[in-house]
Amino acid sequence: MQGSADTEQGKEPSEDSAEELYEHAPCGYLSMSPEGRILKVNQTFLTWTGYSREALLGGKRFSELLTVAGRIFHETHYAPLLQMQGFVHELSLDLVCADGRPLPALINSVQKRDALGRPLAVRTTLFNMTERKRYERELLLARRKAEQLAQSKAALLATLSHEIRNPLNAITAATRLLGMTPLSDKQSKYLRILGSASGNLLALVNDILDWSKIEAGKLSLEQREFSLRELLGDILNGQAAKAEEKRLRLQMEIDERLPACLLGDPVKLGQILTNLVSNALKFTEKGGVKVSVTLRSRDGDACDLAFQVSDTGIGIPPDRLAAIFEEYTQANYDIGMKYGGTGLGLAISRKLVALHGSKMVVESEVGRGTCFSFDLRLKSAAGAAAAGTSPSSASSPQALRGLKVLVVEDNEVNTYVLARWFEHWGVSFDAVRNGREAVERLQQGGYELVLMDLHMPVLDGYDALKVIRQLPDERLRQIPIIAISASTRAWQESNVLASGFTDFIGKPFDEGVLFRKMARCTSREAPESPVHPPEAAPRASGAAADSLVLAPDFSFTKLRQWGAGDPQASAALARSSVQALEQARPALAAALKKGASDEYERACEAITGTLHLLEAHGLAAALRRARALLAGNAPDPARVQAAVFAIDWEVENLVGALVAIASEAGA
Amino acid sequence: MNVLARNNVKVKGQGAQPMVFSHGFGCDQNMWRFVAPAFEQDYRTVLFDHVGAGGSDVAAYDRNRYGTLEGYADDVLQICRELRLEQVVFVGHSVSAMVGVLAAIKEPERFARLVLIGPSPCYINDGEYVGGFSREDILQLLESLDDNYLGWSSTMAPVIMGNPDRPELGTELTNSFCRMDPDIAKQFAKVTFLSDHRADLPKVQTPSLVLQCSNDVIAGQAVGEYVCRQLPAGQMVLLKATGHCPNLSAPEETISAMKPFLGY
Repeated sequence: MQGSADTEQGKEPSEDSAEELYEHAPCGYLSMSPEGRILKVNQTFLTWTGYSREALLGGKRFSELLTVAGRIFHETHYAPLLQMQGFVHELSLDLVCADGRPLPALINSVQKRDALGRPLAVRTTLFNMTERKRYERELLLARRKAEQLAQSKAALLATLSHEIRNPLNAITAATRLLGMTPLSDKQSKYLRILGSASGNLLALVNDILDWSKIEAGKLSLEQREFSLRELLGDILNGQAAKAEEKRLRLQMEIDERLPACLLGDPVKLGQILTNLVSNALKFTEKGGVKVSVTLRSRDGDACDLAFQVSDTGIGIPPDRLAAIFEEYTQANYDIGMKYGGTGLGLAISRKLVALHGSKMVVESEVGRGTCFSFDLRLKSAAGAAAAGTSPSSASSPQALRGLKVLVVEDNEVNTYVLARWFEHWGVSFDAVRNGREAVERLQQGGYELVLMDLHMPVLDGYDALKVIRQLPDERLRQIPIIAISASTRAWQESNVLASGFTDFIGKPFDEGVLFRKMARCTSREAPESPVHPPEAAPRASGAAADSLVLAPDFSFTKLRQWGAGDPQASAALARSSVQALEQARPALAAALKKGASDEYERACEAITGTLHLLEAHGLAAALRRARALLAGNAPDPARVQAAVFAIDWEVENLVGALVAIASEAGA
Repeated sequence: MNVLARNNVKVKGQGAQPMVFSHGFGCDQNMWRFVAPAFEQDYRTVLFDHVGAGGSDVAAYDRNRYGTLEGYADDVLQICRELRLEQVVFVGHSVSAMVGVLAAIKEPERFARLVLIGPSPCYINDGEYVGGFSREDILQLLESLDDNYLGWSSTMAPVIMGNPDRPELGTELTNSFCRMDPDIAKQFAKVTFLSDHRADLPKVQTPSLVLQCSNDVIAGQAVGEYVCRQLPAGQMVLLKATGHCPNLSAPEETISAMKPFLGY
C-alpha cells in the first residue's frame, strides 16, 4: 500500500490509503502518553463521541472520558493491568459522549515500549458495543429468570414432599405400633415389608425435601454448642444395626486434641456424616467403614478439622467420580437398581459442605474402596464442655423404668403413640391438653420430665415454658422439658433450643431417638449433664436473624414498619399475631374436618389482617388449597388431613419466627 | 486451613526484619513486582493475595468474614502469627492501607512502620469531608462491575454456560493478572468503597508514611492530607507520579520515597 500522495488511480474509492483507513476504520483509534493523555485520535472515534479533535488533544486524559464508575475501574484494573502485562484485552467501559450520552465500548490496549522496556505510548482500539451490550443484558436477565424458575420449582417440590411426609408419618407410626401387638408369622413378615417400605419412602421424601430446601436457598447455618464426639457416637449407633447385618466393621477415630465442645450446626453436620456413612455401608460387602476426625490446626478458638469417611467397598470408576455428586445420579444405572436410594444423598451432603464454605473431596479405587473427605473450620465453644464420654451403646430398655412424665399435647393421636411406647418402656405418665393445665399439674409435683408440644390452645409450649421457668419452686424451674414439633429438622430446632427447652424432638418420633433423649435429659443413661443447659438463652445470633430474612413464605417488613423501629412494639405485634394464628388453627382444622365451608371462612376472616401484616403467602396458599378442597363434594379424608397438616406447617413456621421476634425485645 | 496456602503467601529476601506487602482492590501481589525486589537485600519480604484474588484459595472466602475490612486485617495478623513476624514494616496499597491501619490498631506491638500508598479512610463525601465520590457514583461502580466481571470479557462464557467450576474454559483470552471471582470482586468493591474508617486513624500508634500521587482520582491529595493529619505519627510524601498505582507507574520514585522513612 502506498501513501496519500498517489497517482490518480489511488483516489479510487476501492483503495484505502493508510491514513484513510486510520481515520475511517470501523473502530475508534486512540494514542495516549504513558500517563493517559490523548495524543492522537481518529475520525470514527470523534464521530461516535461527538467531541472535536481540539477538545481531546488539548491535554485531556482518556479516563476523563469515562463515567465516574468507569474511572474507578480504569484506575484499579485497567491501568495496573496495562503496566504489568503491557496489554489489556476486552474491557468493557462506558464512555461519556460530548452530549452526555453513554457509549458502551469494548477496549483493547497495548503499550509501546522502548528498547529498555520503558513505556512510550499506549495504543487503544474501541469497538462500539451498544447492540452487543443489550444482547448481553438480555442473556443475563434470561439466566436470572431461569434461576428463579428453578428455585420456585424446588419450592414446589418442598411443599409437595412435606405434604406427602405427614400421612407417611402416620403410616410408619401405626406400623411400629402394630408390631407391638401379637401377630402371626405371616403377619409379621408383611409388617416387616410394610415397615421397611414406608421407612424407605420416608427417607426418600426427606431427601427430596432437604434437597429442595437447599435449592430454594432456604437453608442457613446455625451456630450452637455441641459435642462432636457425642454426635458421631449417635450417628454410629444409628448405623450399627445395618453394619451388623452385613457383618461390617464400623469404626470411629477421633483426634484426642479435639475440643470437647464446638460451635456449629450439629444437625447439618450430622446429616452430612449420616449420609456418607450409610452410603459407605450400602456399597461395602466386606471389611468395614471408618469415620475419622483430625484436628489439623488450631488458631485461638478456630479449629480446622478434617473429616473422613472411608470404606472397603466396590469403589467408583475414575470416569464416574465427578458425576456422583450430581442430583439423581448414581455411579451407574445398574447400581441404582441393585442398591436403591434417591441418589440425592451425596448431592445434599456436598451442598451442605459447600454451605460451610468447604468442599467435599472423593478418592476411590474400583474394588478397593472409597474415601470421602472434607475440611471444616469450627470454633471451639467456651461453654460447659460436654465431657467426651464413649458413646454407650444402646441403653438398657430398663433405663427409663419408673420414670414419671407429664405429656402436654393436644393431639390425641400423638398422645396415643407416646402412650404405647411409654407402656413398653415402663414409663408412667399423665397427659394434659394445654400449657395452662401443664403448669397447674406440674405444681402438684412428682414429675421428672415434661414432653411438650409447641402448639396448643390456651397456652402454647413457648409461653408455658416461660411460666414454668419462672415458678418459685427451684426444682420446677430446672425440670427438663423436651419440645415436640411437627416441623422437624434443621430450620426449627435451633429456635426451640434457644427458647430454653432442654431438647427437641420432631415428629415422626423415632422411638430410639426419643428413648435416648429422655434418658439423657433425666441422666438415666450416663452420668453426664444435659447437652443444652435449661436456662433460657436469649437469641441474638446473626445467623438466626438471617434465616428469618431468607424465608420467602412470609415477610416481617410490614410488621417492623408498623413497629416503627421500636422492638417492644414489634414484639407486641408479633405476640398478638401468634395469638391470632393459634386461635384460628383449631377452628380451621375443625371446620375442614367437618367440611363446614362457612365456619372455615369465618376462621379465615379472623386472620385476614394477620396474613396481610405478615405477608404470609405460604399460609395463604395453604388456606386457598384447603378452600378448594371444601368446594368439592365429600373430599377425600386423606386430602383433608393433608390440608390440615399443610396449614399447621405454615402456622408453625410463622409462629416459630414470630416468637423469635417477640423474644428479641427481651434480649 | 493453612493460612499460607489460603493467602498464597510468598516469602523472599535475605534480611531479618519482615516487610509485608498488601495489594489493593482490583489486583493481586503481582503489583509489587517492581518494588518488592528493591528490599529483598535488607528485608524478609512477604507477599500475599487477599482471599478471592490471584492465587488465593477461593474456597476460603466467607461472606461474613470478609464483609468488613477487619476480616482482611485478621488475615494479615494470621499471616504474621503463622510466620512469627515481629517488627513488621507493612506496605499497603489503596484499600490495603486501611487494612494495615486496622491490623496495627489490633496488635500495635507487632508493627514497626506503616507505608500507606494512596490511602483513603472513606471514599464517599460526607459533609465537610471530601472523599471524592458520591454514594451514587459508588453504586454505579458496583453495577458496572457486573459488566466487566460477567460481561463480554472471557469470564462470560463459563457463567452463561453455568460452568463456573471450569474456569479453564475462559483462561485463554483473559487478562492474566488481577483475576477475581465476580461475586467476590463485587463484595470486595462494596466493602472497600462503602467503608468508613476515619475514626480509626487517630488510634494508630505506629509511625506511618503516606505516599500520595499527584492527580489520583481514587484517593485525591486532600484525602492523603486528611489521613496524614489524623494519624498521630504520620508523615506524607507527595509523589510526582500520577494515577493511583505509583508502585507500577513510578516504582523508582516510590522506592526512594520509602527509603528515608525506613532509615536508609
